Amino acid sequence: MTEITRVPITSSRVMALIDAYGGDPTRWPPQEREAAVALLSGDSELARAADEARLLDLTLDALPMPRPNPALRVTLKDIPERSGGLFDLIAGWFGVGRPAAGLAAAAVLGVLLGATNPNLPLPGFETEATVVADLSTSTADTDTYSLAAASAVGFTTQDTF
Amino acid sequence: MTDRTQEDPDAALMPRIADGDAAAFRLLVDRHADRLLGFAQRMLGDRATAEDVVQDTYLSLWRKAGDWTPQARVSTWLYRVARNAALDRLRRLKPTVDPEDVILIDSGPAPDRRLDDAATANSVRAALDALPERQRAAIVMVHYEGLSGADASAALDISVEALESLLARGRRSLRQALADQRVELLGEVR
Repeated sequence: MTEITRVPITSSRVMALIDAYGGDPTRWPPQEREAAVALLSGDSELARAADEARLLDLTLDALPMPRPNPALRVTLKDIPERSGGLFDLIAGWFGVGRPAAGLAAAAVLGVLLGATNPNLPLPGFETEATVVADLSTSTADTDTYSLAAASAVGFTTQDTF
Repeated sequence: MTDRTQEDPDAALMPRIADGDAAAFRLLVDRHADRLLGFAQRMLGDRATAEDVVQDTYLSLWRKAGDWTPQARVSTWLYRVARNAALDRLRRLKPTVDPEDVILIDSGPAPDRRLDDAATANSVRAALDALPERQRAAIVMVHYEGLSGADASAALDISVEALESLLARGRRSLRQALADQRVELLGEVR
């Protein structure tokens, strides 16, 4: 238990406490509280100032308590599991939070993979090997494909296309 | 400053966290995450950004627990980290109020009264947002989070006298900005 050292107090100090901490004495520094309350009770000017400050306290209390977020707690508790890898390294580089770090990590990972393996296909492009494979498949199934395709777009098998 | 390990229940957890003890880390999440979220949301006025700030704060705790010295309470240290993270965001963010985040403490009163309460809450939010950041941080820590003057001054890295000056100036500005609401409240109290 901490020993509270009580200090002598003046009216101007009580006014300063009211100005700073408001009209509720439980918010005042504990070492000054008792003496300040005693002085307040016998001084109408201080009492009026405390009432006025209490009104502001009440007004400020109209701002609602922010709701806790259980999902955030879960995310926070996962930090030890998720820390220490590439993810955090990149978050540290960019000085960003987790969502942005995720995007940055994905981008950096993509660049690294692309740089170290130039044979990886790019989206929307086919590699030579894939095209050859597709061609051989097409050749083998030319008739079936042609008939089906022709039929699908309204051609008859006698039409040339 | 004095060694607070004897009186701070969180102090013993810090060396364990520095050694990679996830269970000790999770205890500090349970003990302080909600209050840090409240602090960040009141500082920023934006729920999503406040959650980012709390994540940044706990990421710093996990990475830098070894840097903590027992000269300040762990909670004070966390508030300091959160305040710096919030300050960083404030430089990039225009504060707004998300109506989804405004909840009424008492659901009993009639709808018109609820509207009055919401309007007052919005006025308080706007008045807080208009304060200089240091004054706002001081008011949020002391009035809303209930920190003592000593702890709030440590979190803000200033003297108690400087904190009291910030609080007094902040409250004076709020009193002026919220004069209308206080007159309404006075009518209800009387």
